[in-house]
Amino acid sequence: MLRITRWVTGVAFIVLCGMVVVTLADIVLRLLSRMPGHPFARLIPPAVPGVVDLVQLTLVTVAHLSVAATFLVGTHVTVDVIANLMPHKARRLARLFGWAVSFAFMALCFVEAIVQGRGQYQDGILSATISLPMWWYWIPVVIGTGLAALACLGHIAGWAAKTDRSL
Amino acid sequence: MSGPLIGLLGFAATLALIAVEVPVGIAMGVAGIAGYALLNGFSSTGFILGTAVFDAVSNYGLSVIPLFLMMGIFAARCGLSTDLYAFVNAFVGHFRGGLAIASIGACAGFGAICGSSLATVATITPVALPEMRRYGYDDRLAAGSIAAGGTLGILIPPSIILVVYSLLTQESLGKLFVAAFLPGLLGTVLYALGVVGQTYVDPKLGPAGPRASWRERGRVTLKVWPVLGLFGLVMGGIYLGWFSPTEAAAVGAAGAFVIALVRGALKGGVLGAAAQETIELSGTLFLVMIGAAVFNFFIETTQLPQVLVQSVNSSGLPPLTVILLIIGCYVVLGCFMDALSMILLTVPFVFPVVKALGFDPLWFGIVIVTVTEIGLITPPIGMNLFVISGMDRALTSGVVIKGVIPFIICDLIRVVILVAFPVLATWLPSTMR
Repeated sequence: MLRITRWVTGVAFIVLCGMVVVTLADIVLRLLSRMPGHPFARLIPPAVPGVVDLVQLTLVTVAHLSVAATFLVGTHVTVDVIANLMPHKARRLARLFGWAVSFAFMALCFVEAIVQGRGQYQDGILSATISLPMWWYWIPVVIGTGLAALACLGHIAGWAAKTDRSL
Repeated sequence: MSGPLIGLLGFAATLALIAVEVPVGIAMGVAGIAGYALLNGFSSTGFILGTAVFDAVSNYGLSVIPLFLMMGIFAARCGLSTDLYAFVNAFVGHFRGGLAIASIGACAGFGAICGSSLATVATITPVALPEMRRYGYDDRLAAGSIAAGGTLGILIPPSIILVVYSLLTQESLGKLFVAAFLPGLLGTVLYALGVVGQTYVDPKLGPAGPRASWRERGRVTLKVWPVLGLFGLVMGGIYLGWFSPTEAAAVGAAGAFVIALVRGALKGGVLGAAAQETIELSGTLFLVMIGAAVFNFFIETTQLPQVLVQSVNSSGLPPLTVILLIIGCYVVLGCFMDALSMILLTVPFVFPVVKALGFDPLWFGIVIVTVTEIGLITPPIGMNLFVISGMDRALTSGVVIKGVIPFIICDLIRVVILVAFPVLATWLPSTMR
């Protein structure tokens, strides 16, 4: 699980850096093209073509891989005020319930992501400005939700084997 | 069962799931999808799930979240907290309670880069707490000033909570950031006055430290200027219309990375750890946003917000009373929920009411974020209190809670000032280009 987590966070961070680079390149091109009397002003495009499409693609990738990473590591926003008052056994059961509900939700999201991504592929839908195939955007959604669902299963298995420290 | 009633039951079910430690995002998502299925049949839920999972995280404006997180985490890794503390301390440390004021100032400065309250507290505590103890500060004042100062991080721009509010209400993020500037400054000043007041009443709480020489002041100023300059570039760029918030966030992230690199702070496994922290923090926020998107789909179909607006309109209550009631509810809710979940769960209900009453949406956003700040330092789940007592075993929760009470009073005074003088939040955005 640790190796998968490292890979997922590594890829997500590289994609995030890509988002930074694309956005900075767009700012630089805009500044250069507005510079009066610049010798290459006509040769330089005024912006990165399809910067919004590219940022959205990187954003969807970062978001879904990072969600998968939180499931792999087991770090979520939870409120433990009442759970802290429960006896140990009840709390363990509550955690199992939490992972089971999380698995059900992420598995449903995974199935629907496949259905909708396939629909986008079959209909040949393209992005607004640089006509990227929209099904590309669904690949990270499918991978992220699938990994998240698998991670939940892993935690449930850890619960059964009493090896998962978060339980 | 009527739609609005199902909506209320969905809200209650979400709170019940959260109470048994189901992740907040999952609780909202599951309650939302179950409620939607109850209203419209199970066959239509698939489309909602697929759409929400995609739409919730594909909005171009959302890209500021991981970028600002990256900026804050890299700034923290290059020793910003220590430098900021030394900077403010050099100028105010020789006053009574000066080290506590320095902690608040360092929190405000760090919050200006970081945008996360918990990260601010976790970063400033190891720097400021030992220093205050060394000079004989009472633990109550030491812990209280850091816990309260940390809350400034979620209001002083760039604020993640304001990003979320902006997306929920379609208000301009740039204007919200600019609107938060003066109230954030007001919060810092009020906290500092809180320290002055406490040490005036009981001087033993925070004895004066040694006075720094002007040479020392110059040295610490030189160390801190790159990061303060980065904040100036990011926020000034938004205010002057040079950058959109997304562009400013990318400039901030790249700038913080370069500063950390130049300072040699990314050696060993630090780069990997910073990358992991950025991605994990982003993931926790995005999961809550996905769950909230599903829940909001459901709430819209229940017509609950419209029913609430009609009820408020027909109640005959003066608008100010309604606002005060809403603020009261947020203060109570803040005792049990974290700020992001609270905003995502309640703004879809509350915002239409506030808008129908004719209040400025920018002002309301600032008031609500200020109120959620209070939740971070009020028991039983004031997260900042836990962070401090968790980081220093010698500090009991009781000491931290006692220490933070004067600062909660400062917060309440700030809310009253903001409600009485909305211009504090609305003036600066009105001057934007």
